[in-house]
Amino acid sequence: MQVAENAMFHRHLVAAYIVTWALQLGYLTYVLIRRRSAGKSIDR
Amino acid sequence: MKLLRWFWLAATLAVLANGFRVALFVVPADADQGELSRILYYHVPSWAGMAIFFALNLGGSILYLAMRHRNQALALKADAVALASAEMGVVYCTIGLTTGSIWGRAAWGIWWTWDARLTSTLILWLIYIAYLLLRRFAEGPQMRTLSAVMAIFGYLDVPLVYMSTRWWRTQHPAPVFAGGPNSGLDPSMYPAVWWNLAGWLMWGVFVFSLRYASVYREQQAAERDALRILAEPAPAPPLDPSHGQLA
Repeated sequence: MQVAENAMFHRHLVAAYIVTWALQLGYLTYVLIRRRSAGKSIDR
Repeated sequence: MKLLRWFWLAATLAVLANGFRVALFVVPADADQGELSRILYYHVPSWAGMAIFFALNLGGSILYLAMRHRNQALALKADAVALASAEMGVVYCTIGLTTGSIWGRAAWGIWWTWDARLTSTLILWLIYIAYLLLRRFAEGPQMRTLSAVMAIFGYLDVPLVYMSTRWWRTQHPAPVFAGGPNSGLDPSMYPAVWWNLAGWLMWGVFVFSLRYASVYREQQAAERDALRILAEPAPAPPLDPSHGQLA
């Protein structure tokens, strides 16, 4: 548990993980918007 | 297709969640860098993703050039693969550069240095940004051919990036994977690498499949519009009133 607590509060580590998720989710949002404008939802 | 896509997304999220758990809570911290070394588990998959999707972009571009006069439908699909994979590769490359910069700041005390690995990677990123800008702003039938040629030349930088830490002395560490004697991770750290590698590659496949379908549909719509315009009768030329003849 000590390992986990240290890892969770290491600010550079947290920043790297947040940046990764933000960029991937940001691109997914762009893809879904382009998809919707082409007349499709995620289901089709 | 719909069910498969949702199943794939659910599996991807499950693998990513487990990867996150293993990376932060299961594997031990590095003896030298401590908790900071856990950036590796998101940093390495981003480069693997970049390499795979840029290779896919290369394959799509070559196929487009080979098929554009022989099989128009296949060529359009190859072009859609090329565009979608270039975007996906740029996302991974951006993540790799950013997480690497954050890691460098914490480990070396600097955000950036102009060593061979970082500089060649930045050039690679700029090449594919230029490729996407060309695709976004160029018009006309030559755009796809030009961008395919550009993609082939741009990919030449990928092996250069990979070999840069072997050919030159760099601030960036020597190769960790397949780097010869005294390289490699401690076996206890591999589960975090594999889970996150699998998770982020599955994520890439999911987003790529959505984007590919969207690009292909846009291309088909553009083709239909072009054919419709060609099929419309040309407007009659105006009459010249002084002669009663066609002007």
